[in-house]
Amino acid sequence: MSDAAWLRVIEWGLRIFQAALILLWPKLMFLTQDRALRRDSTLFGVRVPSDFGDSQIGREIFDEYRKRIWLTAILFAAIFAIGAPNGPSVSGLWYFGLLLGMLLARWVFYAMAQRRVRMEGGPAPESSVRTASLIAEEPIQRPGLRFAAFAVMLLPMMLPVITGLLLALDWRRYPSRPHLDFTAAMLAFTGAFGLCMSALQYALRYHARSSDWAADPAASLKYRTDLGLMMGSASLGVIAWGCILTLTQLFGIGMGIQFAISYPVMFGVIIFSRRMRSSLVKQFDPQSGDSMADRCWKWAYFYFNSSDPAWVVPTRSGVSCALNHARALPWICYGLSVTALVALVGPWAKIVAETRALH
Amino acid sequence: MVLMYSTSVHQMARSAQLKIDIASEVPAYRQIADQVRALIVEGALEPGDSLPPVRKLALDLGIHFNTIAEAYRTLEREGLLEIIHGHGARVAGVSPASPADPEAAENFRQRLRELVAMVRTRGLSTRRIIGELRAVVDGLEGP
Repeated sequence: MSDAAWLRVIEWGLRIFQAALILLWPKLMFLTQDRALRRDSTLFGVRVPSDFGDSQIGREIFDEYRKRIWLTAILFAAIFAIGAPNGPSVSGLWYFGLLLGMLLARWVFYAMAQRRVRMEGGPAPESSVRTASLIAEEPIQRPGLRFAAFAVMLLPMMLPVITGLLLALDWRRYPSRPHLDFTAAMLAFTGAFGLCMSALQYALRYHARSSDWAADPAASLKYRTDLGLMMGSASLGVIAWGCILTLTQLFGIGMGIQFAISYPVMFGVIIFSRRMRSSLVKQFDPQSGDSMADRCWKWAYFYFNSSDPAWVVPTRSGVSCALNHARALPWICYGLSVTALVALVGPWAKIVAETRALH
Repeated sequence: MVLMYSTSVHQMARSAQLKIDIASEVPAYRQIADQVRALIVEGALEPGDSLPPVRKLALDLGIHFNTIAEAYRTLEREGLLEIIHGHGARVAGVSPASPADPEAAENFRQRLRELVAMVRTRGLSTRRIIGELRAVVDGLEGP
């Protein structure tokens, strides 16, 4: 098949895949969190009496939230199906925009549910007791898992650097200067993202409490390692794809080969992440951690506690993690991402202007 | 060092847990020092056992590392801990100061006086206080 035919297949494949993903967003991204939006002590991030979540009003608030999420996903899928133009990069941008919109909508719905819980159910009295074990965390015994954890911690940061070096060695092969600038800026963005993901895994491994996510230090370490593996491998999939795209352009490898490698890998990463997520839900101990006061949680999702040395803590629902915004890590990550994004704008504008001039 | 710490601490009793109440009138460093002291006296921590690094314990308890360092220094002054720079803290091999030490006895009397006064204001009878004290002493001396 010619490259043009491949492109058409990929275009339609991506379009259908993305539309299906939008429809499945609540199931794929929020369902496990929906199920765990409360642990024994909290509902929508508010500390409540333990029976409030199962009460009629608690279930009503939860159902209302879930209905809003589903309706928004259906609306966004319809907008994508009708409005998004063809072309992998254009529909990809649309998809990314709608994903941001969905996250924003979820944030608003979550805040609304939280407000209602606060009015009707809480807050319950907070505990001022904190515990710590004098027993050390047991190091991970399985060498394979230990190796995977380190590889997934380092690779998101290393891959863009290696790709950048290869690009620097052979930059004359690029068709034009704006394309080279754009690729370099894109690599810088990927590198910034990779650095943030590596830093997050480092924080999970070395700067998180050993009583969080699970009361036992060994179980907590296992949970944190698995969570890092899941987040790291998902981000690694995206970063590796970006790096492969850059290198194939540089060495003129056909798109067929590129997609034959990257699609199965992406599919594998999605399945792996789903399995890890189910495993994490099983490993999570609802009785663990959560010793910090309600006032440490700002704007529904953001943790800010200057007296807490932890860089990363469990979210209020217990699923996944939240950065401590009183530490430097989140601000470095935001700063890097914004700088890299701004650096992308100039070369991208030049390419758009060049393409328009050609037409 | 991490390996030494891990292997050493694994030999401790699994129940070696610290619990602090940040809303308590008793400062956090004293709560920590008191509990570690009790664990040493009960035998849950033995001579040579390493304690978690200051920053690790501070992270787990969600408090400033200086608070833990102060607790460790207090126990070092009492002769219960050895602090070796770069190697952390471990339970001292030597026996703590003799009870006959007049300064230690005076400190004990002073702290006991404060404690008894506090529980009296909360309504505990003299008989109950004596009973509780005896139970604690018996618990520390073991079967």
